[in-house]
Amino acid sequence: MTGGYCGRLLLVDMDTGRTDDMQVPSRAAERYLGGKGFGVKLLYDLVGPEIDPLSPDNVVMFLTGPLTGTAAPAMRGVVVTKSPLSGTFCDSYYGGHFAHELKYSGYDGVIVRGRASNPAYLYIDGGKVEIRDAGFMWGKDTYDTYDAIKAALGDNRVKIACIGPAGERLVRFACVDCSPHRQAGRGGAGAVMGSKNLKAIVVRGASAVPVSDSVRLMDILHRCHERARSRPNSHTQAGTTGAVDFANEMGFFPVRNYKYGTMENASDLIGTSPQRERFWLRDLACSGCMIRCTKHGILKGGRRRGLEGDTIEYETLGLIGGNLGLQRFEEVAYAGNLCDRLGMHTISTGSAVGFAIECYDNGLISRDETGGLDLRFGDSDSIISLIGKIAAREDIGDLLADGVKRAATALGRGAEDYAVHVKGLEVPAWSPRGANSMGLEYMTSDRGACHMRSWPISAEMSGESYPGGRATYRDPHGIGGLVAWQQNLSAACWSLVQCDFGRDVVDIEMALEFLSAATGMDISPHEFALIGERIWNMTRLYNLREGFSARDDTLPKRFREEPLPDGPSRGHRFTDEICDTMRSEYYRYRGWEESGVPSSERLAELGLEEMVDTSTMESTTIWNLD
Amino acid sequence: MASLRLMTSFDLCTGCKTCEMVCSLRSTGGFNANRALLRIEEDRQGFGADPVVCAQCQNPLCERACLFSAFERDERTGAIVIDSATCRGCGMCDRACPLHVIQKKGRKYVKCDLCGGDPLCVRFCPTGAITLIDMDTGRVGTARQGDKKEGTGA
Repeated sequence: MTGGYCGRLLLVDMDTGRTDDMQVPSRAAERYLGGKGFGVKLLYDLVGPEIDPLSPDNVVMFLTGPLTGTAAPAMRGVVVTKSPLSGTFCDSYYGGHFAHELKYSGYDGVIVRGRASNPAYLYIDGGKVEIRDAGFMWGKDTYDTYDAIKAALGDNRVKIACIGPAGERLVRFACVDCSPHRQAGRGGAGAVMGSKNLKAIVVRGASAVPVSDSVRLMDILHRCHERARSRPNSHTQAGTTGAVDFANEMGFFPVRNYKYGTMENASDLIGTSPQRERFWLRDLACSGCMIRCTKHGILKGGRRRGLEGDTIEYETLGLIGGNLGLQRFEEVAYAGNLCDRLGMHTISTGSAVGFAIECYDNGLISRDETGGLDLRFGDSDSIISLIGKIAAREDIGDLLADGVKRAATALGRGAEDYAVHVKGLEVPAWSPRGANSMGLEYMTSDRGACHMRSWPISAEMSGESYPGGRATYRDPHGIGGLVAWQQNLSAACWSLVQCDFGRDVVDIEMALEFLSAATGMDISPHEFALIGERIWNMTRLYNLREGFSARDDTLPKRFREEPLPDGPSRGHRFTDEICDTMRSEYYRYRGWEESGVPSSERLAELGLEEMVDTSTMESTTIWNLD
Repeated sequence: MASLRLMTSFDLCTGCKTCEMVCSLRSTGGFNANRALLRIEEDRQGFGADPVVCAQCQNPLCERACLFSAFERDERTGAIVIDSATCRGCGMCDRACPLHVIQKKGRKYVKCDLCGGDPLCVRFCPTGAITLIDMDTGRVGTARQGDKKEGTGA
C-alpha cells in the first residue's frame, strides 16, 4: 500500500487497558477496500453468534476508508458492531470531522473490546493512546460532554465521538455523536459503547495521510469542484428537508405510527420553509465537502426560542414530526435536538413513541405504566416527557428503550400489530406502501429496515434499467435486481467511505480516479461492483450465522395487511404475492438459493468460498493471520 | 515590491477544511488538516467556522522574535518567508505569533509563503471564502469568484 491507508488499526482492550497495533494486510485492502468491507470481515472473525451484543466480548469499531482524511470530497467514517437492537451486522455512518482526525492519528480504525471497570474515555494524541477517567462527564448530554472535554483539555480542536445518557443506560437505539454532532445513528452502537463504560473517544492527530500521486489527486479535485459549481444541488439548498415535499405528495411520509402516508401542509408546517425562515443561520460542511448540506441555526420564536443546533433532517421531520402528529416546527426541532443531546437515534425514538401512543390509544398501555402521561399524537408535552423517560429507562420508557420489537413481545396482547420494524430495526421515514422497491429494500437490508443500502424509489418510478433488467413502477417484477444492484454499489461506496450525498458530484468513476491517485490501486467500475457484492454476501453470511433466515426477510404486518388509506397509492399493501415475487427474484439475481443462502457457486465467484467454510460458517482466514 | 495578502470571509466559510487539507499537502507531502499553515477556528460545539490566515504583517512579530534572522520578505509576493537554511528551529516565531499559524516541520519551522503567489487555499476553497488581493491596486488577484451562497440564502 503506497498511500491512502495508514496501514494499521488500533486494538484497545478495556478490560486490561492494553492497546495494540494491528497491521492492515494489503490483501484486505484489495478485497474489502475499507469501511464497511473491513467492518464485516473483522466482525465475522471477532464476534460469533455466542456473543451477546452488550457483553464485553462484542466489539465496537470506528473504521475509515482509503480516501478518508484526504481532500477527496465527502468521505467519512463508519461505526461497526453487532447490533444490540437487531442482532445483525450493523454499520452506521457519520460525517463531520472525526473520521478524518482518526486518520491523522495514524490509524485506519480503532477496535474496542472489553469493559472498563469505571467510566472511561479513550484519548489518542499523535502516538499516545490512553484510557482516562470519564467520571467528570458521565451523565452529561452530548453537548455538555463536548464542553467538558474541550474545557478539560484546553483544546477546541480535538475531535470527539461520544455517547449521551441514553448510551450509558444501554438504550438499544443509542447513537454515537461525532464531531460536530453528526450521529452514527442506527442500530445502537451507542449502547455498545455504554456497555463498555466507554463515554468517548477523543482524537488529535499529528501525522499526515500519504497519497500515491498527489499531483493527480489535486487535478481530479479541481475537476470535481468545477463539476460541483456547474450543478445545482438540492442538498446545498436545503439539506434533506426538501424530501418532505416529495414524500408527502407521493404518500411515503410516515404519519401516526406509519398508519397514513400524507400529512396536510407538512411542508409548510415542518419542512424547508419554517426552517429557513425561523431557524437557519448559515451553511456548514463536513471535511472536504463542497455540498455543505448542514445548516446551523438558532430558533427564533415561541417557547423554544434560543435552541441551537443544526438542520432538522428529513428522517427526524418524518419520525418525530409526521409520525407523532407534531405540527409545529419548533416542537419537532426541540424533540429532535433532545434526542441528539440524550444520544438516541431519532428514527427509532420516533417509531418507539408512535408505537407507545398507538398501544395507549388501544388500551395496551395504562396511564400507570406511562407514569401518568396521557399519551396522544400531536401532544408535544407528553411526547417530549416520554422521550426523556426512554433515555432514563423510567416507567414504560424502560420497555421502549429496548426497541419496538422487544417492547411488543413484552407487552403481548397483540401489541406486535403496532410494532413497525424489520429484524428489530424500526422503519425509517419512507413508508413503503406505493413503492414496491422500498419494501424489498427493508426486507433485505443487512441491518434491518434501512433506507440507505439502496434508495430505489426514484429508479422504480422512472423505470430505470440496471445490469440484467429494468424496473417498472408498481410492478413487483424487475425490482429484485434493482435493489440488489443498488445495494452492491452502496456496499462498495461505503467502504471508501463515501457519503451518499457526495455521489451527487463524485460519481463512481470519479471516486475510482481518486482511489487510484490516493492508493495506486486501479479498480474498474465492474470490479468495484463485485467488491460491493462480495461485501454484501459477507454480511449475509454473518446474519445467517446469527440465525437469521429467509423468514426474516419480511415486512411488518401494517404494510402487509393494511391498505394505505391516503395519497396517490391509496389501497396499496404488500400482498404475499408481491413479497414472494420480489424476494425470489432478488435471491435469484444474487445467486442465492430459495432459502436465502448464497450458493456455493456464487461464493466461489466472489472469492468468498476460501474465506468461509460454509458447512461450519467458520472463517478460514482470520484477519490478523491473513 | 509586490504586496499580496490573503483576505478571509467568515461569512462565506463553511468549515469544510479543504483549505487546511490542500495546504497541509504542500507543506507535509500528505494530508492532515492540523498541519496546515492556516486554520479554521472552531468553537466548542463545532458549529463555528472562521478561517485564520497569516497576515504577512507590516510589523512581523515572527521576524522580530527570531533568534537567527531567518525571516525575509519575498519581493515577488510581499510574503514574509523563512529561509530554511538559516532557521535553527528555536521556535521563537511560533511563540510570538498570536494567530498560531506557524508550524514545526522536522527540526525547522514553516509558515505561509502565499504559495509563491498562487495560493492553494484560494484555488480550492469551494465558496470563495479566501481570496488573494493586491494591496497596491486593490485588485483581486488569482482568486476565483466565489459561488453565490445558496443554502441558507446568505
